[in-house]
Amino acid sequence: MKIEANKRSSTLEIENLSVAFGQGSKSAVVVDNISLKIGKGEIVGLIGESGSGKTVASLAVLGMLPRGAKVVQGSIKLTNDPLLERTDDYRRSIRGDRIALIPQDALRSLNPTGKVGYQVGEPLNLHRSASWAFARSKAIELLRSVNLSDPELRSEEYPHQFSGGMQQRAMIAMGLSTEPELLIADEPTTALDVTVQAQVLDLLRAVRDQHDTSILFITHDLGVVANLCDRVYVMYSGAIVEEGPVDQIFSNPSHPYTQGLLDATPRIHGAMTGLTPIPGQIPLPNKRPVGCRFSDRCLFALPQCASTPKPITVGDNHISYCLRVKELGGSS
Amino acid sequence: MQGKDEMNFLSKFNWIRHGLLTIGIMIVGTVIVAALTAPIISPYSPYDLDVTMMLQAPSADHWLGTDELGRDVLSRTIFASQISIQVALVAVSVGVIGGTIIGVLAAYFGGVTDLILMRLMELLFSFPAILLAIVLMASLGTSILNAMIAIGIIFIPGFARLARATTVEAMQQQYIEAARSVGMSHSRILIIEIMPNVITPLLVEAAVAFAYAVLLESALSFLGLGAQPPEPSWGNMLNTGRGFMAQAPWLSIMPGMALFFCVLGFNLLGDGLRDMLDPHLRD
Repeated sequence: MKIEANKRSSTLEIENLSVAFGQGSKSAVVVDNISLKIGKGEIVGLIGESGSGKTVASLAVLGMLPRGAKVVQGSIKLTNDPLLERTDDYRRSIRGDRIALIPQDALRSLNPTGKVGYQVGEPLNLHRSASWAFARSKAIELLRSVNLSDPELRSEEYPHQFSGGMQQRAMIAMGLSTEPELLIADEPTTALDVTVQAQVLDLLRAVRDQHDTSILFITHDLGVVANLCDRVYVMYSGAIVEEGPVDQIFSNPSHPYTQGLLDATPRIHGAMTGLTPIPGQIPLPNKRPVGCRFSDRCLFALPQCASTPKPITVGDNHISYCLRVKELGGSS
Repeated sequence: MQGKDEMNFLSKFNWIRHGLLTIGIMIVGTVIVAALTAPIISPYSPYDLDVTMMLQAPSADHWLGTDELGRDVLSRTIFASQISIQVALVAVSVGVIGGTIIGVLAAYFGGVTDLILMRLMELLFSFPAILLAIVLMASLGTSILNAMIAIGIIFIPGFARLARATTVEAMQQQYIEAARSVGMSHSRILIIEIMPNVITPLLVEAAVAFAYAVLLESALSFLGLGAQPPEPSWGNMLNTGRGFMAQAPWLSIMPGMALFFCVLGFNLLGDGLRDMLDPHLRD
């Protein structure tokens, strides 16, 4: 358990970050005032539906926001290094070196025209000025460390000759090549089948245990989060609605949205009565309800929910942004 | 290692299935060999006049006859291939290099860069090729070097469009995003990640452009703007032969045939390469 995040030095510290697309009256705030902290060696889950802003938040950390999007407020610190005050060149130089991204679709993230060994070793050549020969030998070592059989042979192959799980492991090997402080894993297991998924999760855990790497795990899969993460942030429509240690989030979900997510997740021991979907759909950034943005879909919404949500402590490091959390607590 | 791989590739290559490519390679190979060995294989010098042998029909001495100044048509046809290949090689290189740089930069940086570069290309495109070549030759002066440059400039917009389109496609791929996420610089992404994807279609286009370059050079020489007499070129030989169509048809037939087969060869090569390299047309 690594709950004592606040006492340890933080690898990543996001404070009051907002990201908007477009300008002026047409701008849409996609990430709205989020704060997030990842301690050293901690695996933190960021859960949310598609369109909740989790990927945009991770791109802001990497400094890779798409054209038209920009950070309108807040700060991002990587081990006390204020990233938003740095130049683009500086931010580029730490990408792949101090922060690595493990993308969702490994096959499409590997260049079809390059041998896997070169691609895995590339960050070393790029950031550490390693020779190609050294980068290649290091790549073979890395591929072995992610449990790829025959890494010498495999490093000479092209991405399409790899299976999905092998591609994802190659991407993880590439991410680990420079031993980054922070790994951002953006739904790395979504495209994989369940057994391979378990292998990849084991691998990520092993990486954390061996190198004390901090991992930001972005997903919409609650099962994966329960399995892997130490702490969880639940994001809805651009804002964080609940945060806390993983066991508390699952045993005592304290926001109607988190409860809804859990009710909508299939379980092996669950009743056969079926799943309870959350009514409606995630609002567009410019059509959010006033105050609590979940209020239009929430079964427990009151008129007071139109006021800006405030953080309410429900437990040890467990915070909910629901006004009625005290009355509704543990009602899932 | 590399050599062994190539040998392996050659022995595995299915020459029958790629019949058109095989024929194209054979024709193009013949033309290139003829150009390289012209001084050795030509029976006469292409410049030697012999007033006693004017407009002779094909015979044992002069297999393809002689022209109005008694020069050996076969030798001149062989030597003319040198000019054609030279011009095509330089012009296509100018087109490929210029076009690729412009197209890739336009696609990669997008926005205003894209707008300005591609509108410029469209401006070039809007002129008929031969007219543009004549205008360029008129301003640059008539010489074979200028013909190479003029033809090269004509090719730039086509290659630029192709390079831009393939780059735009490659840029949408997630591995470019991934390359950015490991901190690669613009130039590194362009060279390592994008270029390998752009090169194949450009290669095919280059083979087809080669045929067109040979044709354009002949057209310019025919009009008296390319190779200057007494330098032999298929184009200016055709022009000369035009005046003797009735008395000495071999004067035009020989360079005409050479031109025809050379263009056919490069076209077959281009089509064959496309069939071989394009994954959509494979099997």
